[in-house]
Amino acid sequence: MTNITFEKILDKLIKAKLIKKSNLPEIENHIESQYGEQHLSPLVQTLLGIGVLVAALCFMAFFHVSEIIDIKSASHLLTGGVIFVVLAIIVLRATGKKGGIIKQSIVTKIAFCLMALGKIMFVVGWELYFPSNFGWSIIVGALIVTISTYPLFNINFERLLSVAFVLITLFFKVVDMKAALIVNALFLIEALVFGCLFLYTKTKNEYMPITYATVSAMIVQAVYSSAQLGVTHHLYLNVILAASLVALIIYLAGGIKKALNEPLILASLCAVGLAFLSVPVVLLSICLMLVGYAKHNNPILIVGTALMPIGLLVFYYNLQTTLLDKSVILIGSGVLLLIGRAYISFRKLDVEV
Amino acid sequence: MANTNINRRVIDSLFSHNIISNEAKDFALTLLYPKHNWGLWVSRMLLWIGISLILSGIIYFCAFNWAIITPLMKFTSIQLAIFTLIGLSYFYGLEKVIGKVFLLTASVLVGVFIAVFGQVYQSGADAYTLFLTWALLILPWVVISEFAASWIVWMVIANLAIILYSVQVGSYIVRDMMYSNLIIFNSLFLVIKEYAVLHGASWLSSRGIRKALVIAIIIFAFITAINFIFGGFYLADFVGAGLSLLVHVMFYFVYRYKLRDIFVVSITTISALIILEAFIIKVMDEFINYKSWTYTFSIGFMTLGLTIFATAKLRMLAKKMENKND
Repeated sequence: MTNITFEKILDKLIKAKLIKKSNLPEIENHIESQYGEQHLSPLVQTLLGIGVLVAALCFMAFFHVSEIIDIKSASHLLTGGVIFVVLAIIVLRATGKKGGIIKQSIVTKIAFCLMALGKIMFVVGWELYFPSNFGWSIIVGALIVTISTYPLFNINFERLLSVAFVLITLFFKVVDMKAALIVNALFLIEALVFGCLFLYTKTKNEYMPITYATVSAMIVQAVYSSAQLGVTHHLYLNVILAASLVALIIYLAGGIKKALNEPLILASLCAVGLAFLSVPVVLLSICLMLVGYAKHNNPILIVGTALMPIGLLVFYYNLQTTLLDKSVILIGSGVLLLIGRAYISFRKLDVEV
Repeated sequence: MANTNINRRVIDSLFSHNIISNEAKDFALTLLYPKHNWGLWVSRMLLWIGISLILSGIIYFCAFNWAIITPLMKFTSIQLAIFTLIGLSYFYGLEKVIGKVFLLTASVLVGVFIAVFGQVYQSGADAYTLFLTWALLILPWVVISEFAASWIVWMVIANLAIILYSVQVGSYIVRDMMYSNLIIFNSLFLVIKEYAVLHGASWLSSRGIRKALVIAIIIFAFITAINFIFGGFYLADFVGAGLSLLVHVMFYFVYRYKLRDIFVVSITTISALIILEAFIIKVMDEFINYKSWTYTFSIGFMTLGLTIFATAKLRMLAKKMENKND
């Protein structure tokens, strides 16, 4: 990290016309109000979020046991679901994110609990009201409630869970139907959405949960496909991911002209090679690591890094060959990577700028 | 504002509150972290992944049935690899990361050698002896390497030795005390680590090591506490519960007032609250039918209440702790 001062950063932002001088008081007020407030780490926030979900499920059990709501009745569930969703929105918007830490904590957690309860009841009620053979009702119900609440309920963790639920259940339903083309199309759409939203510099904060949800869905799909035996199960995903990796290299280099140098051409060729030799999880891991590093996004970088050993494990476990052949492939791959490293070192590309 | 510590968190906070745009956020972060050291980063990634692949390949090679390869060849190849790696480590020097990585790789191959030795001679020794011997043999290398990754690998091997000893060989009391032993062992290492960092061992100062150790210790402490609450009242359970209490209290106070790490305080607090809730549920089980509405409502209300309490408490603590750091 550099020693640049905050005033200099603001100065440069004004000169680049990314903020106006009139924004400065708002920025100062925000800094002062937030001063000394550390955000809790994503792991801690996730654990707390899980606590709220558990509470929501307990309340659902309470409603059923007390016979206030009959969980076998579609109309009860749909009505109850809508009421709780509306209540959640009212609680959050009426009190907002203003106020002290205690008030904020109480309001956001209660609102989150009400929303979780409402959505679960609505989706289950929808499925009971419109039963379908393949469970499409659950997806449609979840989609309706996600789209309708997304602009109104601005707790990003809840938005992320909601969107991820829709995408992941959609994936498993399509897999159930054995519609390989749709599975691959779904992955392509998710990759495009993630790429557009995450890399586009003008993406608003409200849409960031969608990017994380698409990443979650892509990870589930990639792991599932990688675990399937046989190359054809993941060849199309490999092609999509390899193309994404090449596009990413070009984007990060700053355009095709700038990407036409030896190291980047080699990197692109390796990406193409990986499409035929590797599994989706490994390619997805590399994409996420690159994107996370480029955009200074630690969660994406960490997830990408953590995916790599999982990908390698899945790949070599499912490889239909002897342990001896697997060991040769592993050692050969490792040696190739070390040769790549030696090349970078030889070209002095690993010198800190 | 002149004294504001500007870092990624401040920029992210401005963006998350829609005060600056995504573009402005990226611009500011690039100013703060201006060096896209792609070459260096890719080089390190290739090194780690390459070494991991080679090591995995060697392990697969050992798992393969070596019926056609003589024991002499097996031992020779692994020993040759170990000596080559030691030589490379010496050549590059332990001041460089690559030298440390080679020494770490040699350490892993020592384990492979011991496994092959056991396979060839069919000594009938329990698996824990492999891990125990491995840990003892590589300890001097781990110490001189001053490399956090080596210590993490060593800790994993040592923990596995304890677990396998408890499960395979230990008496009933040793088996029951397995988690307690793991708590003691890992806590001892954490204390040594923190002491070493305070006295200049900067290579151990990575927060990742502390987080990994704390999470492991808290998980073991959590298990012992839950065992005590829902299990029988044996001596091992009492000891485990006592250790769990001690761990939670010590972590809270040390990392709240002395070392100031909100992550450790958060994990400790959440673990303690879940244990508290488990205890209350156990008590409720004695008096209330679990199928009654009182039971479900109480649990839901208690869970939500504890989550709200944890959130508010931790956020206030975080603010206080950062204020005192300035």
